[in-house]
Amino acid sequence: MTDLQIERSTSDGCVVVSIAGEIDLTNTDAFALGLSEAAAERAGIVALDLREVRYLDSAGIRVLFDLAGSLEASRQSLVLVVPEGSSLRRLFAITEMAQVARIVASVGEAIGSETPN
Amino acid sequence: MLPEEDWENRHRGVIVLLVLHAIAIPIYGVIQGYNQGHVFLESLIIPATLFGAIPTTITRATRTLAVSIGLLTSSAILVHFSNGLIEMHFHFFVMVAVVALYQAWAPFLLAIGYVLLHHGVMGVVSPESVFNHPAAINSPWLWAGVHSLFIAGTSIACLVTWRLQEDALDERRGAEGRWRRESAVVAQLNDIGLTLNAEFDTHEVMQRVTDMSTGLTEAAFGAFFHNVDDGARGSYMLYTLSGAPPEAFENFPMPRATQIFAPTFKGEAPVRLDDVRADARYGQSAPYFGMPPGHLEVRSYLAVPVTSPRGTVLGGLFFGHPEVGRFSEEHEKLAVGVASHAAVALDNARLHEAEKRSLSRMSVIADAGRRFARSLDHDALVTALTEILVPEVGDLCVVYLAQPGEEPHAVSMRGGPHVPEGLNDPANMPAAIASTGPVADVIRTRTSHLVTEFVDDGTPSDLASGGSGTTLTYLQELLAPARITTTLTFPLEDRTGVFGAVSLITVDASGRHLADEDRSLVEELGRRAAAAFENARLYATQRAAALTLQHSLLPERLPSVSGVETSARYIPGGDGVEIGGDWYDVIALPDGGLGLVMGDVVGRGVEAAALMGQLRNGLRALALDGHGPGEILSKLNRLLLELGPTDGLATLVYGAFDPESGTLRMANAGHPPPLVLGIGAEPSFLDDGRGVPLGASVRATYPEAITTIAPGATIIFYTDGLVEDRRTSLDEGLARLVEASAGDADVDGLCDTILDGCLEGRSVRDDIALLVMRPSQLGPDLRLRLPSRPDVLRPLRATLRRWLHAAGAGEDEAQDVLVCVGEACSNAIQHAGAAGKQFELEAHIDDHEVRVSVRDQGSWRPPRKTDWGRGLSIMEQVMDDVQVERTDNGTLVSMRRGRVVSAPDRAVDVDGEMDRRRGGAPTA
Repeated sequence: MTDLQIERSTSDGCVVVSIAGEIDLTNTDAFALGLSEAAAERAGIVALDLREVRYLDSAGIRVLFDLAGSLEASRQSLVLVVPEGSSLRRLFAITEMAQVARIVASVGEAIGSETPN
Repeated sequence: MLPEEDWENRHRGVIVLLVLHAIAIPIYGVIQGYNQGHVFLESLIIPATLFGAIPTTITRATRTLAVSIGLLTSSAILVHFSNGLIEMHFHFFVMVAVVALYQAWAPFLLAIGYVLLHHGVMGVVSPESVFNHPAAINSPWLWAGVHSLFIAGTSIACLVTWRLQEDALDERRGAEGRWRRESAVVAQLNDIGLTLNAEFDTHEVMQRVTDMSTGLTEAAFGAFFHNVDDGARGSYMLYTLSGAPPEAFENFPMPRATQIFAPTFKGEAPVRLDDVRADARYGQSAPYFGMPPGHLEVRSYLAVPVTSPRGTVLGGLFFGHPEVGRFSEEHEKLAVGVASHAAVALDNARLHEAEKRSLSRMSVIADAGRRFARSLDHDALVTALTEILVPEVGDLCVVYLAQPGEEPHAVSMRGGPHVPEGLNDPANMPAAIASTGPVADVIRTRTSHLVTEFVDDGTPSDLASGGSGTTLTYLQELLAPARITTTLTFPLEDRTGVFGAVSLITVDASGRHLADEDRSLVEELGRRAAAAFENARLYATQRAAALTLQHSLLPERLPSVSGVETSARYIPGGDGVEIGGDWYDVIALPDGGLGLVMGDVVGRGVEAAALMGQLRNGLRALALDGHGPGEILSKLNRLLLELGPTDGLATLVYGAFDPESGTLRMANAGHPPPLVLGIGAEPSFLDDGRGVPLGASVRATYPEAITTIAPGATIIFYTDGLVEDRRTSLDEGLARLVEASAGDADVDGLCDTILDGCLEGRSVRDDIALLVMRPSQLGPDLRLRLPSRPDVLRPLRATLRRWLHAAGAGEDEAQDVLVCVGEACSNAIQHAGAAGKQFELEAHIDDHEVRVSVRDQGSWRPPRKTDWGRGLSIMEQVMDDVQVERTDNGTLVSMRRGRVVSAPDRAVDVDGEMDRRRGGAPTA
């Protein structure tokens, strides 16, 4: 009973995972599973499109940190796509997510087809 | 001796005759030429005798003699005045004949003596005044003797005639008296016969016979012993008493055919004894050798057999008197006469009772059929069975049930008016008592068992089926002082075997007896009861299955969505045979909304419940998949049509409520419209968004209606059972619903008042489902108590968003507060996640600040992984102040942040603001 939606697409050594919905205690595990499946594709870049995520709590943050850790071990890099000035952006600032992942505003930027403005 | 009246009449006539002589004789004397003075003086003697003849103070004998002297003297004077004319002597003979009227000896003796003395003395003194022939004149005494001899002869002739007449008269009188007495007896017996013929109650007949015959025989007391033993029933003895209180005989055994009683009980002949103790047959038999001690004194004894017209000895009438020689032949005849009437009357009574029993048996069976048909519940059936049997058939009834492999045990008992009060509960009956004796026999042999003879302690005299310690000895103790007279135990048997037995008991106080002919009745009852029990079992199984199915398909509890109150009720149909297909559901939707379902599958029973289950699950799946109401109903319609041959039809209303916006999207497939109780508005039914029932048409489409349910307003969903039944029209029902919904109760209370108001005064025949939803009214203060489960988090956030927006908080500030409160609540749930635990959230918002505190009931445990640390750090950085208090009773997290209500000109500079809070730490 969750509206968490996780969709995945792969191109050019890059996997983009689009996530929509709210992430809390009820679906942290499903969230973690979806991300680990994406990580298992061994793409050089794992980009999480979080623009449609309406809510993310500290458990979700922990999942992101765990993911970043495992990706680092397998020499993959994590990119998080969140809009400028969004609540999530503020949360990532507070939790210093930038130390383990690149935080960008668009998917193009994430997969390197666009440069940050 | 003449009767007084006769004597007086005759005496009067004789006096008249004497008076006539007193007048006629002087006249004759004067005519004969006698000196008048002489005549007068002589004749004066005649009336003088009247002084001795008339006064009633004088004795009859003296008056008789006085008048006799008067008459004889008349004869003597007549002879004198005729100068002794011999023909005048005839007058003497006439007078003798006259005095014969007195029918006594004395006047005749007087006449003989008078004539002898008169003729002798006067014949000597003055012969011419007596005789007129020379022979007599010469020897007056000789002729006086001759005359008196003739007088004596006349007297003898009169006396003989009189005696003969007297005898004839006596004989006639005797015959007449006997005839009178006998006709009186016949009349009496006839009366008795008529009285008895009008009486059909055996006991009453016996009592009357006893009373009448005891009166007629002038006995001190009488008894009627009636041996009821005509083959169809068992043998037992009834008795009635007259002239003695019942206590006088109650301690004695029934009379047996001893030597003295045998002629009566064998119907041989009446026995009439002037002194029973003097009879050779008396006192020959054990154990008493005579009358038992304390028996009423009997010397005069009369006993007559009562024999039916067909020759059967029905019993005997016995009469006693403490004095000897009191019973005459007459008495005996009377007793015999009464006995023959009694026999006929008893025969009539027996036939009448047989007729009555047959009629009452038929009515009992008919009554049983009706009662059983109405009782679908096991307990009600047991009750019905006992009520049919008592008091109609017996005086006490005990129902025993025996599960396979178990000893039979009593489950119900019912006593009639002739047994001690309060015998309606078999709870105290010792558990194993029915494991032997008649009840066990009946269950083992599957045949009914009749006991008609008991020894004094209630043990059946047929020891093979009784013995001590059985139900009957136990029941006899309960029934004392009444005594068990007969019992009939019959099995309850269905296709699977004997599952119980029923004991029916009669007691002496009622005078009733159970007999062989009752077996067919109770066995028929047993069969009908067993069939009814089987129906009840099947019904209970079906109903239980349907109820279980239905309950499994109704939500065990409604999902809690904070900021929305819901309450629901489901009432299964009253005494209906099957369960309906009503259901309601409340679904926490993925978008934080609430799905509200109220449906009703047409039809009843397991099939309806099963179809309801399919629709419910289909609806849930579609709703959780994010489909809207109109689409969901369309899909369900197709589902129902595709389910095939069930011809299923269902009405359904589905609404998706968004607590944040307060909007309800609703579609209705032929279901009664929900009722909305707005704030400050009249109650209104939501008639929009209507379509045909599900399963009615392949082309059906279901439009959606959108309405707002403001905080504090209420929407009520229901099924037709609430507003409609055979006696209530839909309009009346809806009006009643509106009326019942008034008031300001919370949702639970509202459900109760609606049910009370709508069901008042009618029994629930149809199923009823009721669902009430009310968005909480949100003020500056929020206070929620929520179960410690993760799934409350999403609706809680929806409520908080609504609350923050309602207070005018800015979008970003609201999101920040949401994140922090979410962290605190996640923590509370993780710490206190045990089943049944709750946590509390209290929040306040105003223009200056927002304050939130979250209190859990869990004992503190170390944070799992690093979430708590990170969560706390997020809170501390986002909020202006965070306090964490840990106590034995739980953890309290309090936080505060100022300026969440944005000023119109306030620019959001997120990163800058964050930097300021964090002391200028750089961001990526």
